[in-house]
Amino acid sequence: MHIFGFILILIGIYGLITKNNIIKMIISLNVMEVGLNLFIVSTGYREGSLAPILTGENPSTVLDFVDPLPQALVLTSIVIGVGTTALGLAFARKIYQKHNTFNLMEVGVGE
Amino acid sequence: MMQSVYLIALPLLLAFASMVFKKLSKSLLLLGSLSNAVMVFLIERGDVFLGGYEPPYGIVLHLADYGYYSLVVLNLSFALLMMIAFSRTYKIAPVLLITLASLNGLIMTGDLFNLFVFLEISSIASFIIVSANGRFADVFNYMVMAIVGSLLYLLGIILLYSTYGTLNMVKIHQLMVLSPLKSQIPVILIFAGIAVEVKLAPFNGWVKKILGNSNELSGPLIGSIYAGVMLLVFGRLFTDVLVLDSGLVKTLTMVALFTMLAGEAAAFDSRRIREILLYSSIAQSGLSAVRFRNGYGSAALLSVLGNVVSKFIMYFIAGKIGTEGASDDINELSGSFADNKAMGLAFTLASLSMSGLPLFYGFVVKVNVLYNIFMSGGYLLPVFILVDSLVEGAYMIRMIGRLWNVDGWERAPRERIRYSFGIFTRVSVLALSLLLVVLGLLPGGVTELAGNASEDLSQGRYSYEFNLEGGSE
Repeated sequence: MHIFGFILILIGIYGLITKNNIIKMIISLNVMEVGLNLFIVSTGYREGSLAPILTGENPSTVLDFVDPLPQALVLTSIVIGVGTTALGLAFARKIYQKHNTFNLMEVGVGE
Repeated sequence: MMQSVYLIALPLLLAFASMVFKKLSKSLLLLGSLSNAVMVFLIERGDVFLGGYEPPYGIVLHLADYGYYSLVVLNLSFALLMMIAFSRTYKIAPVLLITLASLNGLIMTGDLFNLFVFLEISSIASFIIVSANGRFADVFNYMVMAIVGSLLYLLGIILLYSTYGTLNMVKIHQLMVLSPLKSQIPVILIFAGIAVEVKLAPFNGWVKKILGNSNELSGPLIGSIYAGVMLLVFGRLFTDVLVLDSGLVKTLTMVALFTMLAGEAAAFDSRRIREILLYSSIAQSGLSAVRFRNGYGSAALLSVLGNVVSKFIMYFIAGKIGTEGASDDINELSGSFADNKAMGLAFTLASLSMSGLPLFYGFVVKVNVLYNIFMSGGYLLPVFILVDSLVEGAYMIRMIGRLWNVDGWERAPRERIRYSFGIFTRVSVLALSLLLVVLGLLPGGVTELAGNASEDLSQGRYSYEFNLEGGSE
């Protein structure tokens, strides 16, 4: 799980470095975020442990639960990711309206 | 006395209210920023456990001398900016209120993940504020750099969490002292994340396009207030929270020194007002980072205050000239200050203070820095600082000389322009610049405040008992 998360982060970085298309760059950012979220969740995972929810079947806190904190952190991280993606897409739309392209190289340095 | 959490809660509440009552949004912004400027003198120091949950399960807001110093600088400068750049707040009042809440949160939070959340909120707000210049491709580049920086920071703190089982700053510091990290990778990732906002090389590629096209609102806000807060956060993180090994300290010092030298060289080479200011800001960020990282907390705090006040005045005036004038080039603008004497005087006083001339606050900062370094037996760093001061003095004096020089009128292609500064703006900015002279002549109060704040920073005076620990182990 750790390694899979890292691979996704590296794919995201590769996409950011190699792509000039704004939409592809936003997708690359999202791939990075998903990889990081997966990595965060995997830090709290323990083999054979229960979901950290108290139920009728699992009424005691002494039972072996996975760490709930990384899962809570990931929820916040996902919400922030949605916000930044929405803002990135809004900028992409504005750039397209102004320059009729999504390619940053065609937009030019300093517009 | 009030709890410090109101400095975050009130602007947030008013931000939501201003989205509902759109016609009142600018008034609510003014109300929020002025209320915070008053509240900052009424809040009590100490810890606030949000929701009553004690750390490590809950988020703690911590306020001692260091945080208090930072909050006073932030809230007073923010309120003043909202008053003098009020006309620019149209449509973005809710965003500015969210910025105020998040910057207060950045200073007070005692939790590394909560710091990430405030960092993201303030970043998103700043993308929207700077997009007012209409250069969306530049803002998009800034956004990508800032988000990648934030993700690196998040990766760093998660690696710390998986090592120590907590995200609480006090606890992390205690554990890092007892059991240092085997690998410094988490600290490097956190540094990379914060360095984007602190404008340290090589993470400051966004600065030229963003601050080089700033107006009288976005310039002082991003170049002065935001930069000051991020430096104070950097100082706290890398002095009082994270424990670095000596090799990494040397590396980070070299990075900061390179930032300083490259910034000053670029500022010296430039002929455009806002470019000169932004490169100077980069250099000063590098210098303040060196001071924080090498244990000169008091000098760093004095320097951050000086930078915030001086750059506030200079970015404000340069932003107005840049947006109302036909040019940003100091040769084409020669003689501009002869037509706008009050603002020219304010800009000149701020420039001379930045240059570290005697009788100005900047001189107090530089003497304090050199005294502290010599007392601790350092002799190489003063050489860098003196060279930096010489270069900075040279381009600052060249710039104000051109802007006052009426001989250039005949050959200047521009028409003489009187910039539309209102009487309140002129009086406020001039009074702020005179503060640099007053603090230069009577530095006792502010040096004592900075001294107390730096003791709070370096001795780690605050602590509380931990009965519970998170983590996967």
